[in-house]
Amino acid sequence: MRQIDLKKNLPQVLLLVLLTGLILCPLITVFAKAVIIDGRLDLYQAWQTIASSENVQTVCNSLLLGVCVVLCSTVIAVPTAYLLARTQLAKHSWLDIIFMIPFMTPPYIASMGWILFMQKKGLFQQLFPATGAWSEGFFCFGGLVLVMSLHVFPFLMTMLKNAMLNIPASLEESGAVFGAGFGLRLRRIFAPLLTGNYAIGALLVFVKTLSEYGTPYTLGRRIGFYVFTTDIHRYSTTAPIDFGRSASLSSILVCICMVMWLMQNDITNRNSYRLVSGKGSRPAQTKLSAAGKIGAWLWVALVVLVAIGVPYFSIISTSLIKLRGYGLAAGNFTLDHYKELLTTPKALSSIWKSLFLAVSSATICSVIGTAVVAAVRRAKGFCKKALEGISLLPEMLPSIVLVIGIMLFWNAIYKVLPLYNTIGIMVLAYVVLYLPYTVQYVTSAFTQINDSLLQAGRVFGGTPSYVFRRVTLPMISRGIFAGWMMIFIIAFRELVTASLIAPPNTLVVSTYINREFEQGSVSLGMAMAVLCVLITTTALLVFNRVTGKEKGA
Amino acid sequence: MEIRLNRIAKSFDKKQVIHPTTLTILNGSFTTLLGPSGCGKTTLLRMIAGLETPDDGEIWLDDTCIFSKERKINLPPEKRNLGFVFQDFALWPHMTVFENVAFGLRARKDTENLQSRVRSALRTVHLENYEKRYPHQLSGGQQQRVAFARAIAVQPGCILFDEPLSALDALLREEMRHELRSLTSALGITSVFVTHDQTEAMSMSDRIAVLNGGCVEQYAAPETIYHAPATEFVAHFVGKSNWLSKTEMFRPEAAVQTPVKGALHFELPVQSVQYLGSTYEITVLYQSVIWTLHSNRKVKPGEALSVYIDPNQIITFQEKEVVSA
Repeated sequence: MRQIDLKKNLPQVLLLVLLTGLILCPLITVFAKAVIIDGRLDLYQAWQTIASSENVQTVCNSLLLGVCVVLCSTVIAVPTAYLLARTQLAKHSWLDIIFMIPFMTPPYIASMGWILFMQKKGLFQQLFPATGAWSEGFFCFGGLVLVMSLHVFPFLMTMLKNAMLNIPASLEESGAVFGAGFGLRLRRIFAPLLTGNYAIGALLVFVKTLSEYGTPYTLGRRIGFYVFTTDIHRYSTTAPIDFGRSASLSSILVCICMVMWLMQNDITNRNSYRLVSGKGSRPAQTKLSAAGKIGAWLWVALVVLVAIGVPYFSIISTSLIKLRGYGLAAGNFTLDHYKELLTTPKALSSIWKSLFLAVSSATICSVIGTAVVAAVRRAKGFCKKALEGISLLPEMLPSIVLVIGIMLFWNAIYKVLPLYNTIGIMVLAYVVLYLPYTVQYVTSAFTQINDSLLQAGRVFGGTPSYVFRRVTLPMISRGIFAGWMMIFIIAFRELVTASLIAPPNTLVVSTYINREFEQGSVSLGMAMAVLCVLITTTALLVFNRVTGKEKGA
Repeated sequence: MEIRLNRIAKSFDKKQVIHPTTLTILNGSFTTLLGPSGCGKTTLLRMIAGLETPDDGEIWLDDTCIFSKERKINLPPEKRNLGFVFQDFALWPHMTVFENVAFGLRARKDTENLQSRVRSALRTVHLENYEKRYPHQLSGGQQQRVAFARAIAVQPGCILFDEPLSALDALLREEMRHELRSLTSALGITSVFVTHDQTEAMSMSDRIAVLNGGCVEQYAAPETIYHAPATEFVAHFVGKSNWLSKTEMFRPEAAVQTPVKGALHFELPVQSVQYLGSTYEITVLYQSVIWTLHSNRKVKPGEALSVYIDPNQIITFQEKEVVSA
């Protein structure tokens, strides 16, 4: 009996070992590094590091930034969500796609766009010379908050919009019939039904802001505003390198994120009303007057202009400018930078590296992720929880922490497995970071498979493996593909991992853009940024086509 | 409260869902709007409540005009003082039972003796001990009762019911049917009830308006609708109808298996037999149509059955003008 059990459980155990090695060990290494100083456990010293005034400043900065970004993105997201969910604007589904653009734009590219736009002699001053140095006021804490909010607000907006669509019209109609006017309905019915979803969205925005590296790195450093991610990066890469410090900062960051996730979980459990009542539930509509409609469109136009117009205008125009000294002037435009990109070996090799990393990590994730989901569905008890929990862990943690962990861990075992400092470690890090995408997409594909479909396969004579090949796999293939595509998109432009653990002289698209932006040809960097956005957008369109079809089926 | 609809019409996206309709709902009556799905019955109800705006016509509640296209009157729902029981109950999930029922009174700022009035409404529906619960902690039938208590708490002139029983299972539906009917008549409230279920309509109503394709085909007492359907559609839609020809029809009760003087006599092959407990339901083939009959004797499929039809109970319709395609 025991042998059969072992044979049955072997795949699960192997997966568990694999995930532990990939995800848990690096994480434990970070914590260990934070408390083990000079080879022995030294909690006092660890506390000293944590409580140092510099550290406290960093923590406060991060928290302040998180709160402000939540507030600012709320201001942008709430009205937009209402307009898109409840008014005549709802029928324009292309707006949904438009509003995904800022979220899909790599934050470091958007920040570069803003810097190019607002800086001294930047595009704004060229367009409106009369405003003088006014635009340079952008380089302050407020500017950082704005740029980060413009990146994350679509996330909050989509959550709120879906929540609004989920409130059946009858709940508000009954309010009206029983004597409540518009204001009272908004206050007593609409708003309370949304608080739970809003709280969850706000917490996620907070965690995302704390974990974000791109914008604080490009814009925050420029204004001298340091947060967790930038400090962790600084202590790990620039002399004097102090891994102990970055490990302790990482540990605090992990703890904060975990608390947020727990709170999020708690709110979800307490606040989820079973709203969907199936039959006869349709979303309510507010009919805007002509003036209201104009106002609504103006608001949408304003948000689109600021969130998409400004950064993209800056990036694209900069990539086309011949000589930056002449600025935006007729005759000063050229496609030469693009030609240069496609001819210089440095640029080409970075594109190929990014493509290689994106394709290989997406493929490996798809295999491991699908295996994990299949094992989770079969496993019971501890094994199930452990597999599920560990595989989703990377999504809850800031990627920079995991990358630091991977650096420390693989450095430590270099003598056993000499992977560090090769392109292999990059693939591995990407796989760790993006595994949750496959797990989530495949899990949701699995939930669409009714158990009786598989049982029917067995009853009609299929062996388990036959049923898996002919029934399960075709049904989850869309989920796998969706996950693959998503990973491809995000991995292609990944910045933090590449800038931390790329082997010497290895550039990928993101680090190439950064290098050129900081110390080379800005126009060349922006041309690469445009190219990067084009490639990922194409992938996204394919992705939408596939997942869209899935909904129709 | 008397509700008068005067030449009410409504279109959605150029499709006319309500053709100009004039209908008077009598004070204190239980009136049902019956029809297949998509016939416009719910739209009609929602227009009375103010949840849809008619394209044309007038709506009067007693002496108050609440809608008039001509005079540009359109009272919003919150000013119409009606009760409404929604198909999905529409109980607010974030409020307790008490708060759900009290909502209408609070919204009207009519909070004198609020507690006792809410409690008495809950007592009426036998839910006096449930006021602190939330809707999701109640069963379907209890949610239905709360929805009803909420409607009666505001003491409206009229309660509108939008297929309120369709979300319940069969047993509960029948129980609630009796309960709703007896409560509304005890309270003497004018009720307008929308349903596609003819049994529900027949058993509950004082008057039934049968709708089809946005038109009222017949507006009469249930007995009249059954025994003297005004149109072929009504004959088809309500009860079982057996067709002698395109224009002649009789109900199963009009046929017996023993000779009666003056009756029409047929010998017809039995198609199927179902035992219903009190009787057998038999289908027989007449030319190319199938008749449904009742019998207290078991017969076998294929057997020939003698059928005698009382000619006085045959209903004849005017031949419809053939619309050329």
